[in-house]
Amino acid sequence: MASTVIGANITIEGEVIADEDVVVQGTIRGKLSAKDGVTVEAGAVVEADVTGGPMSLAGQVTGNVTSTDRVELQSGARVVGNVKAARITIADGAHFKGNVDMDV
Amino acid sequence: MAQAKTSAARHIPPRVGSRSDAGVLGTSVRIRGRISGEGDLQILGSVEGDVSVRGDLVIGETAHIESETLEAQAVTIAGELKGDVNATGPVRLGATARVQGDLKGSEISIEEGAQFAGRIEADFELPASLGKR
Amino acid sequence: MASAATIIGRETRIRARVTGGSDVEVHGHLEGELTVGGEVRVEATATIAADIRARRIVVRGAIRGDLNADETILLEDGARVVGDLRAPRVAIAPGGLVRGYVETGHVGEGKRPAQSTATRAAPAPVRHAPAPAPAKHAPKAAPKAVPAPAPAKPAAKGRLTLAGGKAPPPVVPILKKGTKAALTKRR
Repeated sequence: MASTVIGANITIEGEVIADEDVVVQGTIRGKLSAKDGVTVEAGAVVEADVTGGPMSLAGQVTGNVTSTDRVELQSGARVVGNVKAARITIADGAHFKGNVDMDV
Repeated sequence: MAQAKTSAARHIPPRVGSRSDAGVLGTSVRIRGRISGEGDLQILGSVEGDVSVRGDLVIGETAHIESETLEAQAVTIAGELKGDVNATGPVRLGATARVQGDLKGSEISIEEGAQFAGRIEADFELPASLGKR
Repeated sequence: MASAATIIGRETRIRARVTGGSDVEVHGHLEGELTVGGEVRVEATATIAADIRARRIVVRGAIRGDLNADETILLEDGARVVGDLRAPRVAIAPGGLVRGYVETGHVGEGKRPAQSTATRAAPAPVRHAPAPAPAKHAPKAAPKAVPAPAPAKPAAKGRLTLAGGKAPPPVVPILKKGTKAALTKRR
């Protein structure tokens, strides 16, 4: 299973376009677009619009999130932005501010 | 007319590089001037001048060469060279090489530990996604 | 615990400035800038249009950009690099291809050999770039004379020596402090 891992000590300022899964442990400022799953781990910082398939967000996301599948906000997640997804789960302890559009 | 057979004792002075086995310029040899030859050459001494051989060139660890160009087939360097290398074959720098000059050859390899400053112009194309220059 | 490595997958394209402290392994496409404190591995399928700065750089893929390492640059079989390589230690395996300027030794030392044709008229002793310890972070080499770390022994100027196969230590003019001030004052 191929996937891209943005490690904890790495900062990417720009655009990430992946035809595979992306796991973010570090920082992305710009744009993140994955064909498959997106995982933003606890401690990660994503200041970007995120598009992709199924998403698991446990870190910090500031930007619009668009998924073709489900978006899960884990406990501890801090998401500021609009979420557009087929399904959305917001766990207890997740912080969220934005609009939710499930009309996909 | 009787054909005189060549005397077996006639001494034919060997020409440098006229034989296929390597010519060697020893450790204590100092040459100032151009060196050219047909065969292989191994230099262990000091040369100030161009070197052009048809065969392979070996620059030993004890060699010090200062030239405009070295021309040869394969070039192997373990010593000191200040000058460009123009080889038709592979150019190899060993770990003890100290080279200052440009390298041109069919293949360039540098062992870790070698000291080098110069340009390397291998002939190849980058994949199209990286654009052409 | 070692910091987690970053892996840019084969199907990933990044157009960005990438910075950080740890190791990065690239299998995909990167355009921009890559500066990390750890090791960068450019794998066989990688295509990179960026300058790379790291502690150590190992290349098996294609790069258009300059490579600068604090310790070592290794070009393995399959590497194709158009750009300059600068590191205390540089190794190119057979099959590693490069088109550019290559310099070993401490970053910041040494002059560009483009001058060597000019200096050939007055042969100067071959400079040795000492490569014992890894170089500290230094800005890109300025083509000026840098004070040599070795003791400035008066060397046999312009002549190659044979004794013991060792060349004389580099003769680099080391200006006394205040020389520039004294000269400008004189004007």
